[in-house]
Amino acid sequence: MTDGELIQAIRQGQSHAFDLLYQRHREAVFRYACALSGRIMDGEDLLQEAFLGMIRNIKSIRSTHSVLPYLLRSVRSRHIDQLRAFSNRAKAIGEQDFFSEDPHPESITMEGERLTILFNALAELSDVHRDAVLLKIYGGLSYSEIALLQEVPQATVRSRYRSGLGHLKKILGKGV
Amino acid sequence: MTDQEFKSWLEDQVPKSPSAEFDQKLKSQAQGLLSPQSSTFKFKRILLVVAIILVVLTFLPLVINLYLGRDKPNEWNQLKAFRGGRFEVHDAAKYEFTSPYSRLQLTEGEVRAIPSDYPLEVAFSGGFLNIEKGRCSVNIQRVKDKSMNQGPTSASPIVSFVTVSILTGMTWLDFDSELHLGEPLSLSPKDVVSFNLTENGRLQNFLINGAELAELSLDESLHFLGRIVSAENGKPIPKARVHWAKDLSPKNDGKVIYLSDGKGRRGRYFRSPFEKGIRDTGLWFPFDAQLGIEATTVGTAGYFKLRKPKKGESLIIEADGYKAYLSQVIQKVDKIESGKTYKLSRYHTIEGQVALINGKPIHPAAEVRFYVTHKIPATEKTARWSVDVNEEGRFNIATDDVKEVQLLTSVTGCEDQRLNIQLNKDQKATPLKLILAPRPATFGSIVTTDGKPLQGVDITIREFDGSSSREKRKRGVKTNSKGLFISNVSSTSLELETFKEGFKVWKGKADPNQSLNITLQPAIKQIVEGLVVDSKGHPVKNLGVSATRKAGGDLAFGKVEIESQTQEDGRFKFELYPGRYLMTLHPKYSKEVTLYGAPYLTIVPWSKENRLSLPFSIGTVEVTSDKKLPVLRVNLPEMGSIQGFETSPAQGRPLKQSNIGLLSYGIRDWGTVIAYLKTDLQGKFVFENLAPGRYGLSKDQHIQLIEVESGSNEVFLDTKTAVVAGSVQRDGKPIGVSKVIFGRWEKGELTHTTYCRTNAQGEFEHTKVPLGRVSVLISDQRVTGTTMMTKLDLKENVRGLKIDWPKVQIKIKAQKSLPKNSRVKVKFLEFDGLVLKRLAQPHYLTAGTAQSDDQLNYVLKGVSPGRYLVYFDGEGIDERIEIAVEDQDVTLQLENSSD
Repeated sequence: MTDGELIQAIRQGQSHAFDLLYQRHREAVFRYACALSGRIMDGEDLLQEAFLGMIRNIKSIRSTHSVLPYLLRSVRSRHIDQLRAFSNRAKAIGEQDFFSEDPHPESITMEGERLTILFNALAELSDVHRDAVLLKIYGGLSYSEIALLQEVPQATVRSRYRSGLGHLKKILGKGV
Repeated sequence: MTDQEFKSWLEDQVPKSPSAEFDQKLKSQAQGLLSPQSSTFKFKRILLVVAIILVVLTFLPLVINLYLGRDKPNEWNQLKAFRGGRFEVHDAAKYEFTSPYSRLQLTEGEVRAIPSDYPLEVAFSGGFLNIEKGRCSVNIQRVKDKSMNQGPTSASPIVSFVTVSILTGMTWLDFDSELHLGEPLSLSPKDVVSFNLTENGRLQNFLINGAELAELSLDESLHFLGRIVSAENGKPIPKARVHWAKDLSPKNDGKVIYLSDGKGRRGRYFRSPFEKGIRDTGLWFPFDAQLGIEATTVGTAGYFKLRKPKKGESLIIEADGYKAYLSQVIQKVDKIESGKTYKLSRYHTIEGQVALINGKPIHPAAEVRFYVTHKIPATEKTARWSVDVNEEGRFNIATDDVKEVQLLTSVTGCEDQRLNIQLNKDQKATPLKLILAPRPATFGSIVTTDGKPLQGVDITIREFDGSSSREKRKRGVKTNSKGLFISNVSSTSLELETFKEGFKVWKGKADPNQSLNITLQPAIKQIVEGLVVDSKGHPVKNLGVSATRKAGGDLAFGKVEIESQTQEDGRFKFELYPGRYLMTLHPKYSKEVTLYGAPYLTIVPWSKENRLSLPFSIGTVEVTSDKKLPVLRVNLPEMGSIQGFETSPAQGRPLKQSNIGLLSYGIRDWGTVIAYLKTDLQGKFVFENLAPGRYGLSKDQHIQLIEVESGSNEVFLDTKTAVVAGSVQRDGKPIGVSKVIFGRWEKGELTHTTYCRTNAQGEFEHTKVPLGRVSVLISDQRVTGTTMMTKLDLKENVRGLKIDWPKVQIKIKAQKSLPKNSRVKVKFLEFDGLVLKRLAQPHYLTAGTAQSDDQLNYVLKGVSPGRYLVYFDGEGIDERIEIAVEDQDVTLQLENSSD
């Protein structure tokens, strides 16, 4: 069954179709969300919102091929919304409180620590380079799919990915 | 590592999948959304659309009527009431009420509404009805209750709440708008409801079929009913408040205690199950908002309706001007009687009037503040509230269950006065005549050239020390609606300066206690131009510039701020009315932080990394109406930058990123966060575009002082620390929950501060105290009002440090007359060779305050050896004395200043 057929089935309220679709894409969406947000908990939140959002907007999904780019785009826009809300909150509580923010308990675990290091290194990349790397490695998209998503030629995606990866390697070089 | 290896390494860094529980949760949520029964979002959307349509349908005709219906004032005669209801109009005369739904008419203060087929619908019309001639509106609405669901076909619709509000011209009358009917009221199509509206907007004589509401019968089986009358004349008391209050003590035998401020607002005290004493739940709030207590008002005839009581509750009745009624705690609900009449007696009131000693009335522009203080019965606490005084100086104090009150008067132009008043419950107190002694004040009036009084003129009063030109004090005052002003002064040499937009500045000398009549000349705006260049002389564009005018000594008072921006050529321009303005520069998008005369210029342009910045004060300019100012030229200094490292190279690099804050360091502005950022993975951080000067760097609780020069500066955060643990005690007793502040000193400068708190046993442990010469301050302002110090030469961990509060006292005797209870403050100057002026935070600097006894003796206890500054915190004495304290008590004699 293609994604398009599954979407059709979900529209008719068939929950097993959703289960199939979720099983198919959850790993890519989750990994992309984790790498993007730098926290496993945030990754899970984004994953949840992306899939539940998909159900809510199921009528407007036109994709007949793969629904993955749609889900990844949804994760990215929700992540940006969260950042905006967070920065507003930071303004509201004042900078002083910012200093006293304790490390997130999750970052104490090995898994969390690894993710934090990666996240900090990724933060050094420019937005477009980071996005290309994340979509390719964790989202599992092809160059052509990323090109469609970013609305740029395939060659540009390819070069962004390569240079992003190189830069990342340089940043992480000592730690690897 | 090849690209492929690196890619697979990267893949390994991110977890593969969410937890199984998460999967399960998500799937069940998805199922909920997919199942047709619970597709709530669809339903909600439909509801929303329906609601919007309903709102539009309801208000569109009203809006149309508002804007188009004005030309047809007589159409109301033919209009139908809302959904079948109909109002009939009698004696059309003074006002005409029209609406698409219903008609009402106000004739000589009477509104008469005759419901027709479905009166409920009329009463339920909700929205405002528009009225021609004076644009009145009437709003009749129902309180929500179950009978509403009966719909318009119900045979006996019920009205239980009526609100009437009137809009005349463009102003809402402050309207006595609520009329609560004690019992739900049945209306039939033949019933006639009428009520009068008095001139001051009160609702009177609410009649149904000509009978007053009081005659309605009340159903006692459903409710707890009663009637409230005055104990003196038996008349019903309108607008009383009735509550069921639950006592919170564990056994239900505690007493709820109330205190009134005479305005029907109460302080509530009760015993809580968790505390032994009586707990203050917050003073002076509206009574009916607390503890989930049911409240209702009574109708004009004094009836009230409550739900049936529950066990453990007490009945409380309050009415303005009357003593509150508090019943016994109800133990058996069946035995509580309904339908009783409650008689309330009036408060014990003290009436009085104030006048000046020479028989003159209080100045009309004077600020009058009366405070009543008394002990709260059965507690050690005192309550304090303010009393209103009318224009003639008359006041009325209502108290309840209190034997003695203390009255404090504070009136501009008069000496403060304290008065103890004994209250005798049985006798009516004779009216008080308060005589206030005049005190030096400056007063007068301000008018325009055509003699009209000018309201809201900002007046800055500068007081000078004797004949010298040293400014002693600055005050601010505004003229009232009659153009009058008055302000206390404490010097005979005064200079006044006015500011009012559109008028020239008046500046001149004034004598206290002689009326000053000022006429202000009109003025036009002047152009003020300026230019901002950097250290190389290049213009700086896109920099925010503001001109701020602050009247008087008060920063929040009469503040006017005008903003501009530098152009491509670095120039900016303002159009300002005559007056003094403080010009400041601030980078765009910056958060504003006020620097009170900080000695260093600081500019931090906004960027992604450092988000905040300080404004830079250009200085004060004086705009006059006759002289054009030269172009202001602002030369920015050459900026510096900090290349910082979280640790020195020898310590290795840190494992994770941390937050670093950049703090201001000025005498009066210390520790304000200018900017903050995260270090990179190597622990490095960079702050750019800093003006040369002193700053603090903060990490966690550490603050390190740094000096920034023009160009690049390299800084290492010194984070070598040790543990300091110990206890603080006074006379062998621990001092709990006080702040222990550690300050590290280097070459006479404070370079770090950090703090912790003691626990209830007076013990403390700080695990990260910087090594070196460290002073320890114990700040326990809440309990003792004193701060004390000790010192350490910290090289390694210190445990078991015992700090004993010193026993040395400073005794001060003031010789001349000072107000009783005046305060003296003592500040640290020096401690063990450390100049504490550098410890710029006032909180750390204050060693203590003391209040005088009746003989003007002040005693400051627990002072550690050192040098101190003693001064009075207030008026009357202008003496600042530096003293040295060793290991013996110090006695000081102080005299009043020249006035």
